[in-house]
Amino acid sequence: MSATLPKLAGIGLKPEHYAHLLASHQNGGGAQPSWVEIHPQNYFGAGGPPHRWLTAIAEVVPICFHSTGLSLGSANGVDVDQLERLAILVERYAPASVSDHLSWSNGETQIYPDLLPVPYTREALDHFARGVEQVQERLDRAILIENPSRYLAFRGDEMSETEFLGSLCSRTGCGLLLDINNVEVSACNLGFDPAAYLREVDPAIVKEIHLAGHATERFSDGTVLEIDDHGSSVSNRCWSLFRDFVARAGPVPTLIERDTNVPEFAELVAEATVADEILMSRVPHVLAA
Amino acid sequence: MYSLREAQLLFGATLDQGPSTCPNDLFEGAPDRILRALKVHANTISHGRLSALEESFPLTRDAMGEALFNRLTREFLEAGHDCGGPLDRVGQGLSDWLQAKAVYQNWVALARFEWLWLESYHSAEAAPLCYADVSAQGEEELLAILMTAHPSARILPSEYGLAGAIGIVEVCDKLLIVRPEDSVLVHAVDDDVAKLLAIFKNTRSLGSGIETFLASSPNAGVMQCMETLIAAGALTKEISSC
Repeated sequence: MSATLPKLAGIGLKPEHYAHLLASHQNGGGAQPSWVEIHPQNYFGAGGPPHRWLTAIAEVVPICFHSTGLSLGSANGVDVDQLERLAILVERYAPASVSDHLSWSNGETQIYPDLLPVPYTREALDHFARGVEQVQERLDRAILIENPSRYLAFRGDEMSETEFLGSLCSRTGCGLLLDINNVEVSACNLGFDPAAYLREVDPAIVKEIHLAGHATERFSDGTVLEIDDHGSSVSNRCWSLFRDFVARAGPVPTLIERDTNVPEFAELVAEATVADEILMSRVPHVLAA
Repeated sequence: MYSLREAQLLFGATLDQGPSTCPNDLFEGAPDRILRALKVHANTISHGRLSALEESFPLTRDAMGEALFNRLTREFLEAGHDCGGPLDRVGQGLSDWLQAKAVYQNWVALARFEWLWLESYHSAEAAPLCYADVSAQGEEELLAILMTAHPSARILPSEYGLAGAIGIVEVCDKLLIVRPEDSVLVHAVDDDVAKLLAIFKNTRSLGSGIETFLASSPNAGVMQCMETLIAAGALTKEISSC
């Protein structure tokens, strides 16, 4: 039976933090994340040290899987090889949750190592929902889908991203992994109000939140491009949006996401502690007592 | 309005061939903004593949120097090699491609070693055959023991200065890469040891393996070779399920 994620903050697990995490749990001292997220693609090898570490870590802290390889939005369908490899790993570790992205990566002749945007059309929604159902059936569990960071919008879009995601969740029973940094990035790049976006999200479908930093490029014509590089601390704007969302939705398992310029373990945990304080402040008093 | 398939074909063609391929009515917004956005995606894709190669071949990169490694790996990717698979397989064909490019053979050998090292690192777990498994057996039982090469065992020629480049001081014919426990280990071995390991690529009894080995190498010290493989943890008596 999979554990559920506590409605507290976790961190993305990096190899350089394996030993710190285990030591902090064994010693029982120092700040520790309440849960960790891994990218299952990093554990697709049949064995070896990554599995030894993960096995040990999964014994002391809840883990969840955040996949980047299913390519759910590809016109050619879900990447079945990735799905089968993911299914083996899910069976082995029984993670608390499994997620992937509202995106596509597999083209006709190439796999693009990127999370490319999907047009928000009825056709794409039907197609994406079929992909989600296929994955859920194979894994025998509901999955979470993350809203993307966007740099482009399709001219043929027929609905907003929040409408697309809301329909997807209601049709398939999947949950939303709400990446607030992605909302901030997309809002800047596509020119919408991130707070309004978050108000459109039904809190009932949000099963997990991601917080992260991003890079900013300023151009001579005054325009700004935000790039989702997961390479810096959570931005002030992101914290503010998170605080507002949690005030409305209540506490949700929340991840501090960092994939580049990975800081010391203690620094990541300190960011998680900030998220915890916000989450705990929104726990209903009757439960907190 | 484009169908999902059409939109992705056009998007893919734009990423592959450049923004001039992108029709004006695919994306919303001003052309310069669209161009900047396409560059973000193109950079992410290129960076992802190049980083995967850098992480897979640190020694080759050090030996070549960063500038040459970056130029050659870009060329490798631009030629369309291994872009069809996931990132963990992007480097699979690099050593062969370097060989075909007739670059310095020492770098080819190093790249080949690093890829096999990675395969060994991620290979399936299996308990290595140890002396205790065989020492207490009578001759008949001993010869009947089924064994196979450890799933992490890889052999490659020790040539073009490879042994020295990875810190092996012994002069040897072959290098044996194996991960019997936590760590990947590299051993200097001779051709006979490599030949015996190859015989156990598929599960067979010790007796059958020895017989096959002696048929082609009647003068070789088969028991010494067997001891070398057992000491290295390069055999297992369990058939890997992976």
